[in-house]
Parts: sequence; C-alpha cells; structure tokens
Amino acid sequence: MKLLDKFRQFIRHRTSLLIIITAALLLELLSASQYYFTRVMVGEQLEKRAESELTMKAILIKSNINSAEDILKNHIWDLRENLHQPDSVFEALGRIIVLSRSVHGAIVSFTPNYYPTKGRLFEPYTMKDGDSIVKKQIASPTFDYTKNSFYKKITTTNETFWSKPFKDELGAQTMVVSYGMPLYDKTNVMAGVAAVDVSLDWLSDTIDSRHIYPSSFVLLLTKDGKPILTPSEKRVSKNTAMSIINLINDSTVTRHESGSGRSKVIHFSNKDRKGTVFYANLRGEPKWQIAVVCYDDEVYASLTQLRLVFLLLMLLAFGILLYMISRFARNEKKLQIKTMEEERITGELRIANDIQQALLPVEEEEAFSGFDNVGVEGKLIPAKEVGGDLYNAFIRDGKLFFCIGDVSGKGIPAAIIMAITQTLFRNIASRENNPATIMTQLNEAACRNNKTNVFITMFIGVLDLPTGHLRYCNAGHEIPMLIRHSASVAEQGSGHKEAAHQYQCSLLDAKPNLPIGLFSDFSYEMQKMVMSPGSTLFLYTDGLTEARDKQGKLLGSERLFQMIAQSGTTIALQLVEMVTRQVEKFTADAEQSDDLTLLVISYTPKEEQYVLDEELTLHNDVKEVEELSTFIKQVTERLNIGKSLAFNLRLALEEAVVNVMEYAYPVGTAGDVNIRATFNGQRLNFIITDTGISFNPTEASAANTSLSAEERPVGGLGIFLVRELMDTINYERIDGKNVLTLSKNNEN
Amino acid sequence: MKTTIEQKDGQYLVTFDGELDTAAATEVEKTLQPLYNSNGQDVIIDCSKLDYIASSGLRILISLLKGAKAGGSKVVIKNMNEDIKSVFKLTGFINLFDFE
Repeated sequence: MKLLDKFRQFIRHRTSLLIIITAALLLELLSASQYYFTRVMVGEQLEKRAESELTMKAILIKSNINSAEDILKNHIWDLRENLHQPDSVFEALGRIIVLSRSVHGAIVSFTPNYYPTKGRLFEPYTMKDGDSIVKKQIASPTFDYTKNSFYKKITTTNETFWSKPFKDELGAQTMVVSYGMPLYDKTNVMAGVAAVDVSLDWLSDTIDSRHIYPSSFVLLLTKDGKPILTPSEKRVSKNTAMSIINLINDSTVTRHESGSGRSKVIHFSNKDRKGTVFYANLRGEPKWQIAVVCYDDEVYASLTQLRLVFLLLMLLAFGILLYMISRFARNEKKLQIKTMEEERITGELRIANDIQQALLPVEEEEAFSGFDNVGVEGKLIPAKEVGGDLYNAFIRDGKLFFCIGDVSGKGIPAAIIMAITQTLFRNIASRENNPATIMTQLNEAACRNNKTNVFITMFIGVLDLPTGHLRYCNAGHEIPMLIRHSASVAEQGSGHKEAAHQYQCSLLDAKPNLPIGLFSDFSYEMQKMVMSPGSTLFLYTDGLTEARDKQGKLLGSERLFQMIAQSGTTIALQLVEMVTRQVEKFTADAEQSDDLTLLVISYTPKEEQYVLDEELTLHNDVKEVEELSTFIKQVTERLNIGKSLAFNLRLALEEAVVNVMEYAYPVGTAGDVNIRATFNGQRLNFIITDTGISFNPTEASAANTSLSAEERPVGGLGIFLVRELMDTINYERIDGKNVLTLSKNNEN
Repeated sequence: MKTTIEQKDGQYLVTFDGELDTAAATEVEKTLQPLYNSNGQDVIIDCSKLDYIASSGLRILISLLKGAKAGGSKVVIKNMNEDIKSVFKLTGFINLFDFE
C-alpha cells in the first residue's frame, strides 16, 4: 500500500515532467518520421542525380567513341585511295588522327603479304606524341597480329568491332581501346583491318572531371565487366574500385532496378562505409557498362547534420523547459509554504486572541452589578497581533481585587504568559489580601523558568469597599489616574444653588518599582490611600498612550489626561465609552500596533440607612460567649429571622468572636472585643473590632473537609465555618484596629 | 450544658443536654477525657437534646473518634437535629461518624 502511495505521489509531483517527456517523445517521433521521409526523398534525389550523372558521362564517353568511330568510317576512303604505295598509307593515317582529339593513333593491319615488298606482316601505325606525329611499323615476327582476336574477328565477320582495352606497348604505351573495321581496296579485295585508337587516359580525364559527391567516382566496364576506366588512384584506391567491380559482376549480389528503370542499383557496405552503386549499359556498340558510386554519409550528409542540429535544439528546449518547470515548481512550493505559513500565523493570532478574550473577567463584571458601592468597567481592544495585555477584577470578602498588566512581546507566547498571569493573580489573590505580597509571589513565579526574559508590567490594587481604603502595588506599569469629583456650589442670581461639577484629575502617588519577571528578589512595597466617595481610578496600558494617528503622532499621556479631565463623568461605564470613542477618533484608520486596555473603578459608597444598629462589647474571655448568644437572639428575633438561619448566624459569629478572643491579644492580656450588628434592609453585617495585634483570620488556611479523621488537624474549622455560613468575610486594619466584617445578604 | 456518661452492654452512652458552645466546651472536654481511650468500646452519643454545637465541640468529637478508631471501636451519633446535621455536612464530619 505504501509503495503504491509513494508511486502515486511521485507521479503527482512529476506530472509536469511527464507532460514534458511525452511532448518531447511526440516531437521526437514527429521529427524521426520527418527524417525518414526526407531520407527517402533524398534517396530518390540521389537516384535522379546518379542517373543524370551516368547519362552525362555516357554522353561524354559516347561522343568520344562516336567521334573515333565516325572518323574512321568517314575517312576510310582516304586509306583506300592511298593503298598503291605503302608509304602513302602512313600519310593517310597521319591525316586521320589529327581530325579528332579523341583519336590517339591509327593503324592498318594488312592481310598477309599484301605488299610483297614489305614481307608477310605489315602494320603501319601513326600516333600523336605531343604536337608531333610518330610513324611506326609495328609488325614483327614476334608480334603476329593475324593471330590477334581483334584482327581475326573483323576479318572473319566483316563487321566493325570495339576491342577490349589493352596496353599499347608497341605503340602509345598507354591504355587504349581500338575501333576497327575491314579495309577494302579499290578492287574490293580485303586489304586488312583499319583501326583507330582511343586513349583511355584522355577518356578517364574526361569522365573524372566532376563528381556529384566528394568521394563518388565513375567506373567504365566492358560488357563482360572488365574495367576500361577506373578513377585515379589518388582519389580511389585500386582495391575499392575492384571491390565495386566485383560487386557488379557477382550475380549473387542483390541488386534492383532503379525507380525510373534506367539503371540498376546495388547497396553495399565497404569497410563500414555504406554506399550505393548505380550502373547502366551504354546504348549501342560498344555495350560498355558505366557505374557511379556514391557514399551514404555524403549523400545524407546535410540531412544528418540537420537531424543533429534539430536534436541538439530539442535537447536545449527540453532543458530550458525542465529548468522553467523546476523553477516554477520550486516557486509554487515556496508560495505554498508561504501561504501555509501565513495561514498558520493567522490561526495562531486567532488562538492568541481567543486565549486573551477567554480570560477577561466578563462574567464578573455582571457580578459587580450586585455591588452598588463600586462600578467596574474594563475594555481591552486587542491589536492584530495580540499584545499580551491583561486585566482582572473580582470581589472577595468585601474587597475589590483588581489588576492591570502588559506582557512584553506579542503573539501566542505573550498570550500564554498573559493567561498564566491571569490565573496566578486569581489564585494568589483568593487567599492573599496584601497587594505587595501578591505582586511578590507573581514575581517569583514569573522569574522562575523565564528563559526568554519575558517581563510583565503590573498594577495591583485592593479596595476595601466598606471603608474606601485602597492598598496598591505598582510594578513598572503606567501610573493610574485618580479623578476626584468635587461638586462645588455656585450661587445664581435668582437664589438657586446649582451644583457645578468639577473634576480633579491627578496621578496616583505610586512608586514605579520594576516590572515583574526580572529580579526574583526585588522587594515590592505596598502603598495605601483612601478613596473618597465618588472618586474614580483610571487604569490603562501603554497601548493607549502610544496609539498613533494616521500621521504617526502619539496620543500621549497629556492628551489622555485632557480627555479624562474633560469627560464630564466619573461613572465607570460612561468614562470608558467616552475615552474609547475619543481614542478611536484620534487614531482613525491607523493600524493598531499594540493592545489597548482601560480599567475604570469608580467608588460610589452609599450612605447607609440602618434599620438595625446594635452593639455589644465583650472581654476576651470565652466564657462571655453566652452574652454573645443572647445578643444574637435579640437581633434575629428583631429581624424575624428563621430558626436555621439564626442557628448559622450564631455559629458563625461565635466562631469569629472566639477566634479574636483567642488570638487578637497576647496571652494573658485583657482586651475588648466589640461586636456591632447592622441591617440596611438588604445586608446584615456583624462588625467585630478589637485593638489587638494585626491579625487577619481570613489568611489562616481553611480546613480541608475531605480529610479523614486521623488526617484532620485540630484547628482551622472556625474560620471555615464562618466563610461557609456567611456571604462575605472582610478583614481590614483601620487606625490600629482589627476590623472583621461578616455579611449576610437578605434573600427574601 | 449537661453531659452524662453511662456504660452499658460494653458501650459508652453519652448524652448531651443543652448547647455545646465554646464556653461549655472546656467542661465537656474534661468530662469526656476518659473516653478518649475507650479501649475498644463503642461510644454512642445521644444528641436528641443537643441544640447547638460550635467548632470546639466538633473538636471534642474528633478526639473521641480518633481514640475509638485507635482501639478498633466506633463512635455513633444518634438523633442529631437538622441544623447540627447541616454543620456536619458542611464540615465533612458527616462522612466520619456513624449515625443513627
């Protein structure tokens, strides 16, 4: 299966390559067939050329032969007229040979004893020697021409005859061919044989003069296949010529008719050189054969060259295409990778955004609506590449815990750190009231395993809702702004008093300290102040002050200050919306480079109208618990509280008060414990105050109710019960006093 | 708050009458101290007349339980009222003791 898949993949990736190969093969097929057709055509051309060559050469030869023939035929009368004297024969012969260039010599072979004075054999001969004429008598006892087949044939058949080529040693010393005819004297008695010699040298010069192909040559053979003329040995070796002659003469060698039927064709292979022989017979006497030899490599030379060029061009084209394809494929791949990368990044950005959004305290903000003494509104506008801003706010034990922060860096790493920090803040702040302690623990966690040196600017605040006491700790974050609402009364002319709203906008007195995540041993200190009723805390991240408009101008803290001061409101929701609108107007369409976060906390405690307000003071003696029980009974009766709820309230109060009695004052010291019960129609408060050592019972670790009996520690149950039975438990140290407030909301 | 202890049929029967608040806890502890080591005898606690219990009271019960378990016996709580029962549930004590 795997092999098949691999094969499929190979094919898919090489599709373009396969297309190219197929195209190349088709093209090759096309060019090959074209080549073969062209070759056939060239072959036909060759035949035509060869045959025309043969024809031309044949004409040349024939003209020479005819010339010699004609001369003898036309001037034999001259010999006949001059037979009376032997010497005049020489002269007549001399006149004959000059008549044509093709005639080299002329001879008469007299019948025996024709001239008694000359003896039996008499053979006058004249020949050309350069510009002069040589006369010879060549008969001799050793050279009896009557025995010659040439002589015999002519004298017996009484016909003209072309001899075989021979070396005229006695005469011209060259290869000659003779044309002879019977010579009759005036009395019609055969005098002998008159003949003219045609020098083969001259003939060979003629027919060797032009070649249709560089190495091609012409052969002249007798009817029986004996060579008459062969090309000069300078051009063609004797062996080559002989091998061709043998081919022609060997009847076993395959030959075929040419297309036109005018010649015969033999294909041969001589020393790895292929070629073709075309040969034909001369028309009329002598029936000599003329052959022309052509070599294939020369015939098809240009075609082969063309083919080679075409092949090279095709290879080049193929190469270029391959290169283009590979480049294209590589670019495709790069593009693919780039697209995938972009999609991955976009996906990551979305995830980072989701992480950030998921951890914002959205539900809690709805829960804040239950508390009318504080307004909390947060807004986080993330940048395209999530920037790691965070904010959080929740109420625990009558206090508002809030934080705002900015993780260095962007994208998923920042989002993850942001998520961790959010979770840690919630975790630590659920049991720790001191913002500096929370900050220190966060810092320790942030410094641990911080290989990438991420740091986080943070601001943590804890606002005690009953009293407005704000405890805070800064870690390198933008100092929050404090808006104090002071209404001043202005008198109008008509006597009406109008309240003009003025806002005092200032920076909170906060030490800068250092962002967390840098130095694990940095000492963070808590600062405090009191928020007056109607005042608002405005927290933000640098994404706000460093927002730029289209021209690149920074929004800046000055401008922000102005925006807030002129906002005309301290109500959290309104302030947030107003500032957001103004910022959006400022930045217009400019791209947001960093997360933009605001957190507004407005402190709006109401004047409490108490339906019930009772007090009891006890000594730190457990025995006085009975008095407490009576006190509680009175309160619950006054408020018509049911038996079970009354039971729980009594238990919770007893546990809290006993706790104070046992731990607030040093052992052996007497001290007071004051219990105040208030009810404003909705909430029942028990406020337990003592002047003992600063002790926060809510920070003691709660009991673990899942442990078995053996595992249970002895303590811890008291506070646990208080927490479980009451809605909130709030500890605050005010003016040297421990103030513990237990609250229960009226559900009716 | 009155605490009575009976020993019957190899069992201790403890009866609470009143409210076991922090003030009463010291007394009750003294009274029940001997039972912390019950020597394998079960301790039955009758809470039918127990109106209230605070955490110090719960601690005493735990001590009783630890002692009984060590000796291989158990602590059985009888006739607890609903309010106290909810406190037991809240603190997880409901899983520690046997109830009747």
